[in-house]
Amino acid sequence: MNKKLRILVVLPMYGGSLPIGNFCADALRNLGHSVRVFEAPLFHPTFEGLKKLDIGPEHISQIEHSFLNLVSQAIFAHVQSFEPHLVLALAQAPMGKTLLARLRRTGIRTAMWFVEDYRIFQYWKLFAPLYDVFFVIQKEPFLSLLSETGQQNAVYLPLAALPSFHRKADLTPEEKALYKADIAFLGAGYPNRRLAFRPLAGKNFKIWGSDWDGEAILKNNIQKGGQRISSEEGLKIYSASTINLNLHSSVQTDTLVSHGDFVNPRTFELACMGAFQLVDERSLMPELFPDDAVATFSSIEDMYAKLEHFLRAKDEREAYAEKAREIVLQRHTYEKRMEELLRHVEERLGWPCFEQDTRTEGEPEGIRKEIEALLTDLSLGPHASFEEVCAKLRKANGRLTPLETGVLFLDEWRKQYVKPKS
Amino acid sequence: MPRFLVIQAARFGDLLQTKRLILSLERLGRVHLLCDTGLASLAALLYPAVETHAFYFHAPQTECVREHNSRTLTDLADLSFDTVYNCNLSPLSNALCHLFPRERTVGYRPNAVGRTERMPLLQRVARMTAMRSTAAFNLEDVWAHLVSNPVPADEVNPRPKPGGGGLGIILAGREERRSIPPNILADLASVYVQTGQFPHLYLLGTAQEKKLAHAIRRLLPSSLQPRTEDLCGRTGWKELLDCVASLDLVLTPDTGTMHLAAHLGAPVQAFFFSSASCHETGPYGTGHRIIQVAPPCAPCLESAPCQRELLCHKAMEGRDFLRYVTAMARGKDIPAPPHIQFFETATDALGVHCILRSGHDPMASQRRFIRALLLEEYADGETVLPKNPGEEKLMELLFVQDRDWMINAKSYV
Repeated sequence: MNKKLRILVVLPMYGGSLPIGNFCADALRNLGHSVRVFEAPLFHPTFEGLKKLDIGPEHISQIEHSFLNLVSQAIFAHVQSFEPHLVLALAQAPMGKTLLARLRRTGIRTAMWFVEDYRIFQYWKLFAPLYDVFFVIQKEPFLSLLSETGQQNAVYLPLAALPSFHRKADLTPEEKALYKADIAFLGAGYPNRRLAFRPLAGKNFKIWGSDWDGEAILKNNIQKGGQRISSEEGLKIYSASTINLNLHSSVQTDTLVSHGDFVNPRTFELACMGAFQLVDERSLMPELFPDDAVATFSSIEDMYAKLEHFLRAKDEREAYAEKAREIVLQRHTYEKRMEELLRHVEERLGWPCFEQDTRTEGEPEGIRKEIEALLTDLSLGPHASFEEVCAKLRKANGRLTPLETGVLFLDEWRKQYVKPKS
Repeated sequence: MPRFLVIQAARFGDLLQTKRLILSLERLGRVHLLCDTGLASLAALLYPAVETHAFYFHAPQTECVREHNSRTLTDLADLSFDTVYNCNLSPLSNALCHLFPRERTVGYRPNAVGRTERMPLLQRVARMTAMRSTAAFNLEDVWAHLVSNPVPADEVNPRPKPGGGGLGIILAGREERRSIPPNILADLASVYVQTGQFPHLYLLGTAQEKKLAHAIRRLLPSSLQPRTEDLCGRTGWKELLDCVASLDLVLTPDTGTMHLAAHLGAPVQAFFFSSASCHETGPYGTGHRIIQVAPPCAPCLESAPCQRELLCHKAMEGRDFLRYVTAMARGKDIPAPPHIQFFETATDALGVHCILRSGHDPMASQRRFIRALLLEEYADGETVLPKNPGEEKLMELLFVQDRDWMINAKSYV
């Protein structure tokens, strides 16, 4: 695609899809598009704060409702100033029904990348038809179910990695000592993982991530008191571990290896880094990675046996890791996913055209050409007012270019010498 | 071995309805139960493998009571539970939860400022209680699903089977409005006794119901008098258990003894009306029978006075009702009078539900839809999609409010 688009990426307030949203934004920028990110996580502390107020649940729900409306308005304000061709929402992004209806009326394309298990979250049933295109990480029966809801533009789009970010980290000696482990796991303490990992308690096994509260048997394995781990720190953990264990989450405890369908982000990220992983079998894995790219296990007994095997088999580990990296770089980058996503939106719906008669009120004569040159860099829409451009420039860090400085000067000059029209 | 504490601070019936949760936890570890002192000896009989801790939840807090409670709290604090299950939306049990680490407390628990917060399942239940006419989730199952994969519903209580001892009549519900009026109760007793299936008739209740038992006895046909025994106020928990276990049928409004009968496998013929809904607190197990009186105002709010001149009581007064119950007691199928529904209990992957055998349930399709959504969410059921705007609205109200998925899908509020 040659057309350079303006894309507003709406992040969720928290959770697993949040880093994925940031990776999408980076990938879209890498593809040359103009990207603005709606930073919903900024609102998360407020919601956490609401919970700590001494207010009963009946009032809290009203306040939360009002607050979500406010967040929707903030998103729409971004839409008005940026005039995006596409609003790309990640799973759990705070996009309410009213906002989606409003965007549809304005002709702005909307897409959701629902990077969640459809069996866990139910809101897709009501929200999927409100998006123009709905991207998912599972195939059947989910795609048919989406069609039943009225969403005819549902597309399978598996997860990916961002090569500019998912790289092996250079560790200081202190970091090596902190992160080095025979076996490591980074992720939340779902019930199946707790049970599966307990027999590994006595090994050189480090568990990183949150939601491991109350896990007595593994308490010596859980690192940093079960704190959340940032994506950046995750790279250090992956880089320092001999075997990165990757067991997909499940709330079931009767079968610890769930044999589900979708492949989690960790699989792509570890592969992209060239870090060795031992991952549970998934039905969609074979079409993403050939057998010789990722080492898999089919049962929990198989996992224990293969851990023992791969701890001794350095050459095999390296061969797997190298192959996996090659596959990700060829096929599974966020850049490739975003290209595919945009292609689907374009093929199915085309792009709205905003670039006519873009001159705005209050703009000095003859300045439009200079302004247009700045809009993309400043993540502003084609109808951004002269004041918006100046406001953005004033907030910019560091030195301005001569053009930018000239625009700011012009603004000051205008204030001093041009009388406003009565 | 993991150690669990279940806090059940409510009544007799609630203690019995905690059974599926307790059985589910017993599979995983050692279970302790904290209940009101008045129910502790019953709890020991019901759950012999459970360690019961008695606490004066509702008694005046005299020095002696405070001393007892303080000892109980000290004992509990020393036990270091893996998980504490607080079943009650009650400031009393919420206060006790401060004794345990917050992250190990499930159900209702104090939030950062000490107010009660609910886990997501219970948030959903709270929404359902605002739409009670479409109720589809038995309370025993609500509590059972505080753990994942609770024991199957049909393994909780024995299949109901006549014990050969006769007919038991429970005289009173927990308040007058939820008690079958004496004249109707006497008529119902006659109907069932006249089927010839029951050698004896037992009137069951507390000492407070002695007067009522006397009144009912006087209304019974003289032929029944020699075969009738008034046990009101004459049974301790052990005697009550023995008596109910021996019965062929228990005729009852929504009561603790009804749940006891289900626990013991005695067949139940329940009469639900006023604020009682069989879809919420019906007898637990397969094959119990319920007459649900359901005028448009039902189920009403227990705490609010009736504005409809007890329509539900009136619906049981007419001759049509008695004719219908007579036919039912004799195994005949005749159309139910207006506002009368006849249900039979059954089990599915979620728990116990009520299947309509006769009468009209105007909320049947909504109830079915909600049940299907609950099955999907809590019992690994098939994915359910709303098929019309009404179902969409219902789903939005109960399952898909914005905060559920935008803010924190797994959090307590």
